[in-house]
Amino acid sequence: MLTPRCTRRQLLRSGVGAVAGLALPTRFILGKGVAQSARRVLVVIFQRGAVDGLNMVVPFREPEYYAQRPGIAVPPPGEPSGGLDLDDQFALHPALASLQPLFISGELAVVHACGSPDPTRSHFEAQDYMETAVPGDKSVIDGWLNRYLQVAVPQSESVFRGIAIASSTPRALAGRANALAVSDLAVLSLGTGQRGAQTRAALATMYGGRSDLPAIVVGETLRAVDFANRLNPDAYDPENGAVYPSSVLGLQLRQIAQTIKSGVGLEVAFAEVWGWDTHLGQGASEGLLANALRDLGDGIAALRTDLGEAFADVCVLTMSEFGRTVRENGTGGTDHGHGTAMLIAGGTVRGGTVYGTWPGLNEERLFEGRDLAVTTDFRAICAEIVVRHLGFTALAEIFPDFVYDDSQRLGLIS
Amino acid sequence: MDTCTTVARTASQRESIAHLLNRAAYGPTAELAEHVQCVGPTDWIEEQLHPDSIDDADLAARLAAYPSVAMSTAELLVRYPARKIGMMPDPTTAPGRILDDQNAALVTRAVHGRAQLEAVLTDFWLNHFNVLAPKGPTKWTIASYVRDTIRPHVLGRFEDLLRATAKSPAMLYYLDNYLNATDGDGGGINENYGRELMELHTLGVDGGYTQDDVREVSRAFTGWSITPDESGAIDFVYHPTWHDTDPKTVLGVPIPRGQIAEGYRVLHLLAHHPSTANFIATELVRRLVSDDPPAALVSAARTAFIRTAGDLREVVRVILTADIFSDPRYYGAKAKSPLHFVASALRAVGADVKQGFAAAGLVAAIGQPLLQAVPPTGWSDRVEDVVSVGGMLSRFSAAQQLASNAVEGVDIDTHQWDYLKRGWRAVNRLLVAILQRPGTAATRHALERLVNEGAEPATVVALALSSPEFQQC
Repeated sequence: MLTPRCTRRQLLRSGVGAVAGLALPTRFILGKGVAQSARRVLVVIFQRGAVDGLNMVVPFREPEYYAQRPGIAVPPPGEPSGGLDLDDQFALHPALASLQPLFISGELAVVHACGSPDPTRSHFEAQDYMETAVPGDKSVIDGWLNRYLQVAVPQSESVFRGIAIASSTPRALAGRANALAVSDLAVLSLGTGQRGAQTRAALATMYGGRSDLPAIVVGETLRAVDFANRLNPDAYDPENGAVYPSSVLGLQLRQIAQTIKSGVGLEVAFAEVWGWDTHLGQGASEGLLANALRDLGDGIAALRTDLGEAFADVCVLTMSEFGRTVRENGTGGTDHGHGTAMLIAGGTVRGGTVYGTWPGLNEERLFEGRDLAVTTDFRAICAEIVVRHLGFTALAEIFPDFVYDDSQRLGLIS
Repeated sequence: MDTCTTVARTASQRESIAHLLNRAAYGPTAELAEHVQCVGPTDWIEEQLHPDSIDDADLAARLAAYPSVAMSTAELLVRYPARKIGMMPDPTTAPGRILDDQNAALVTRAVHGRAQLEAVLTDFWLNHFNVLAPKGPTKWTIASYVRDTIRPHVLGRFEDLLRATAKSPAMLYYLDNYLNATDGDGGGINENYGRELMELHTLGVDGGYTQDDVREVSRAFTGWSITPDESGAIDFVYHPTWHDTDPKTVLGVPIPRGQIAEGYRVLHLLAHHPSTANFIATELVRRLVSDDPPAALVSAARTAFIRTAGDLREVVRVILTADIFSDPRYYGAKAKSPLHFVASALRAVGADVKQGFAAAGLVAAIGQPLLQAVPPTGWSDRVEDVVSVGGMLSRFSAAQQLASNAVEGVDIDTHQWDYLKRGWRAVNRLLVAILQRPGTAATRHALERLVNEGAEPATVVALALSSPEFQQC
């Protein structure tokens, strides 16, 4: 076992770490008491179901790409419905048009042929491995983003250091550091009107004089509710003319932007979106996959627009558990594969480049003779963001069985 | 339900019975607390230790609402087939319905079943021998896993339970042993089951095994697999040609060469190992008594395990009847798991669960969807794992829905709380009804203030269910 199954209780007992701080009388005041120095934020968007990286970022110089995908290949740039040229070798799917300006302005980078070293093609396992960042070891319980919160010096005592706009805590954020998961910030409510006020007052009285763990958590809960009441997420107006897609991802990114701007102490945010498991009728430049990509691209672009100058301290990373087969299957889709592509956007990103080592699509270069090979371990990307963007260097705490050295540095982050 | 004449209970008797029912059951109901008072805790425990002798026609009638729970895997494959490409989704025959039925049935048993201890222990062992119900063919085998593999053995012999799980298609799939084959035959050794068998199922992580033991045990289980669902049934199958026939030594004990018998030999060895006695005793005491298991009670339970060669009924009897079990220091010493919270709340308000789907949805919303824990440790019931910001909000919301009779499929008589309109003195009656004790001054004060402010009875009841005392068991 690589990560000790250390519990939050043990941490509380030993009195170390971020969680112990929660037991102290809080100095955290809403809207105040927040460090004004540059606070770096990481936003992870998980594409659940395994995105077809080869159609998200198209290797349009590869004859095999077109040979293996007669019905679903994206035409090269310049042709009708063609991809959007990035570097004369790769092209963005045309549905990602709203991300092209970010690539040109140097705020968006791509890493291609990346993924997990573990060969599993099970969604469950592969997502777990990517979220724990310890591929192949099912005994690891906590997620890598939670481990970051555990070991990094907290920038505030906020319950909002780590947040997922999701119905349950994703594995990436699960663990003994407190992180908040709600499907919609508007859910952070104890009811409206008199009943809500009565409920809040009664809870504060009943739990207020106690010091056990449930009472600590209820204290955090009440603070979160107060914060959300003040935030009033339903009345939020995005700035700079940003328009979020009216989708689940659009809501998640909108609320993440609002939380970033509120100065509440957010360090790590997580959004997740389904619909990438395109076994059937995925389409080429239009269709199922195109619609999902449009949602993703428009969402990230809206976040960038909305954040304005605050985007300088934000890094957005897309992840997916694996890629899909090079060859189109018998039902106009693709099956579970291996390597895929990830997008990295933000003010600290050295964008305008497609990073990674391209292994090629000739059969002898494929993983197990069928899938895009992985030439960049996803943890190298995560590690570089943790070191260069978040400024945390004790990587062994976060990626316990991954040895990272400068030779793996892609140069993604300035 | 009882003909005996009950004497008035003292406050300390009431609390002691409530404690027993919080641990050996999913919380007190008014009726059950009276029954235990009537027959005495010792006889009630004895009755619970023999669930087969408990007549439960009411529960049987309620479970008829979830027909898939009683079906064989083969029948489930026919009734709830995998969706074929181009087939329109039909929620009534989708395989996901099997898990929905199972979860609703588990909640219904927890609320209305008379074999309460069996329900508590079934939950314990389902997490000890965790599988992931939505994954792959487990969708169809989960009903059999709960009904045939786990429940019949929770008060039986540990070795029988271990053997049943080892041969269950659900476990063979979940921990990958169905792929475990000798290196020579195109497959390869998969150590996933071999490792968890020792670390989580028997010896415990500090139980004294090595990486070599993991390898040897894994080789002993090569060839233990399952038939594919396309065959019309998902059954245990042993493939002799996949079996690694080299000699093996486990924990220093040579395993006689013998194909499938090698696996049985390993299970026997592990089931009766002193580390296993210690680990199972510790985990049961942790579940039934305290997150910090008292050493003396663990020792007594371990001794019972060894003395009876792993008779779980004896081990549980020793725990529940020990003086230390009833020590008031353990009253309220554990935090309720999401299932325990929902079931005990439904029991405390006298709910009639006609359809358990929405109630099971509350358990999931609070953070532990049943049979869907991903890691092989299953859901933990330790306090640090069962309280979270989102989880507490979901508890408060569930309490509000219950108190307002707003949970689909569940009937609650809200007029039972009309007395709360009579003034703050009524709060004591409410707290005794829900907590079996008057509650702390802070809780009483908060609820009395609500009553004085003219809050709706439903709000007052919801706050009683949201109180710190009701999160404890």
